[in-house]
Amino acid sequence: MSARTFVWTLGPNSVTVTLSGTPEQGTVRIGERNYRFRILARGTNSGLIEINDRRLRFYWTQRQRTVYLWLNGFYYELMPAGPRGATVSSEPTQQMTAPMPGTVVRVAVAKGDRVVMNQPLVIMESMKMESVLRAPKDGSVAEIKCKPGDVVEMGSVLVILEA
Amino acid sequence: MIRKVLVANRGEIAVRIFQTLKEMGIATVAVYSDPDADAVHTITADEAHRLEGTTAAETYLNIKKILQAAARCGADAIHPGYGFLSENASFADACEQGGLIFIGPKAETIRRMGDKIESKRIMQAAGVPTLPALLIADVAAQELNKKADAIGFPLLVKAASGGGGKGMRLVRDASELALAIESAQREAEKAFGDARMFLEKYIENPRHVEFQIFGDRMGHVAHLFERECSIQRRHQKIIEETPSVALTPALRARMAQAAVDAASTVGYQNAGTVEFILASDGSFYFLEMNTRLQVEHPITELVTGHDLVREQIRVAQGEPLSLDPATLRQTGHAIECRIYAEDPSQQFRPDSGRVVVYEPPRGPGVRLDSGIRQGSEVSIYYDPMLAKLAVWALDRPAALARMRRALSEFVILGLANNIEFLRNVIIHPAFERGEINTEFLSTHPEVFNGQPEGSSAEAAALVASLLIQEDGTGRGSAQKPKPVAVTRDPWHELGPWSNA
Repeated sequence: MSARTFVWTLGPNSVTVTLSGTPEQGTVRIGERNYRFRILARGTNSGLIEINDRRLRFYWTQRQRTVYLWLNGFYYELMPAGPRGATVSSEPTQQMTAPMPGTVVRVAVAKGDRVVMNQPLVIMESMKMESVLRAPKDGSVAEIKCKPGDVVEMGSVLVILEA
Repeated sequence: MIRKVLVANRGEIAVRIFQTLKEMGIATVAVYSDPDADAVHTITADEAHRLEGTTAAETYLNIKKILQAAARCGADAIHPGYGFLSENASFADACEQGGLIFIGPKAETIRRMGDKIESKRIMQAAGVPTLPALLIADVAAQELNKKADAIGFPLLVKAASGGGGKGMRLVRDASELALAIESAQREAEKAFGDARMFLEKYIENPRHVEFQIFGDRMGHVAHLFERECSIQRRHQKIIEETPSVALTPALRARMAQAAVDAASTVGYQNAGTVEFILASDGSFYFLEMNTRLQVEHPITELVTGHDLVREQIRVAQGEPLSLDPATLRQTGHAIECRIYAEDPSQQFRPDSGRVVVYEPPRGPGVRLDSGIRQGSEVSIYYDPMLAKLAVWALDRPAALARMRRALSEFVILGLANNIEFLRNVIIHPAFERGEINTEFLSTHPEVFNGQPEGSSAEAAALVASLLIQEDGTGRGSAQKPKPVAVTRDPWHELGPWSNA
């Protein structure tokens, strides 16, 4: 199998990983260094990997495209970088998601409305604090996926905008 | 004799109380809101009764529904836990009128100690050191600044019914005073329905040191030493330990005597906590009295060997204290970390969701009081505290090493948690030296930084790449993952495994 490249964003840092071999065993280049790796066990949300000769336990889950990983005592949040992650705003439709879990207090727009940048779309309340979800650019409201009183999770789609 | 106890609470504290009740052979009754139908506390008790509704006001704060449940199941006593109705004097009264034993102090004591102005007056009269304070209603508006100057700036504006930092303002300059009072009054009126305010001298960089006290119906009062609770965020404790490194034996004895005096002067019955502010010069002042079992009671249990809930039940059914001041000892060192579903890097924003992975730490000297399990749904309706991790060891350095190890083993995935942040605090050199006060987090912002020593972004990126079989350019990988050994939990099949 040919080499595959992955680019991850961890907070302010970016890490490029180039894999050769199978998903279970092979070599990897990260920056200037090469490592051998071997997956020794893999469950639904857990596993054991050997990197060079060091064994590391891991657990993981995913929310949207972000990977939440616990590896050998440390927590990591990894966002895939690259075209798919970066081009959201240039796509014809854009999903506006809840920035935190909470309750929808008010929907300030209706389907078909023209909106301008920074116009309030939805007002949410969480832990007794209100926050306003605003349009990131000019467009129109393609769909409204919530109503006042809805209890929504972080990342739930509330409004879909189109250019 | 108490035969059946309804616990009017949820989460880890309800579970913890059930554990002692079971050890005592007492029947256990849980109450639960609709979102808690499958919660750990709901499935831990012998019986569980639904409190129809979702919000705290509809359920765990609803006196009528809780008393109805108690009547339905034939309970003879109610344990309120902490929070919710635990310091609600009307609830204690209502229990008594319904023929139920309220496992806590007398309603009258709750009422008197719940009012911060009244409790200060009582303590002053009993000779317990208090901070100079001034009730605003007693002062004519044009005299306010002069009287405030007499207390001295900086000072605190505090609500008489305050708690949890609500209705409280720090004022460094006389010019800010009027505005601070106005805004704190608005907040207090909304939160407590009581806009009474007082001014209090502010101690810079204080420690928060509290004493566990216990009283019985015969008038015996004992103390079970201190808990140092200076590591706080938003005026809430997140790490507690005992003994406090700040107390010499002489200072401990003086503070303990003040705590016992405070409890005796109100004829205190059952478990309570006397909170003190400790200044860097060793002077200390009564802050408030918590008339309930405290969140951080496990560390007292670890160093004294006494089960505080068992003692609460004994005292509530009229037995004398089993705590003998002559034999009570502090043995070793205990630390507790509160595990919250919150993101410390986002101003501790609370999170909710499903607990996808839950791997608690185990091993020597580790105690976990937990209200969740794998698969639990953590809702937005209640406090985001998930569990309390406590450790015990012979001395403080060993306890710190043990807490670091236990936090490093604790896996919670599916929602944000503060585990790594707590470890950053525990391993901070200033914390290790015991140089702590209530401003620790703001004076050591480096504990908020990610990428702690020993972590490897490279290894994490490698593992994530292997898990997500899709490359960074957006083209999916041709090959489907073929797990080597697909099991739900490979650890049970791997046998003993040690961290490298």
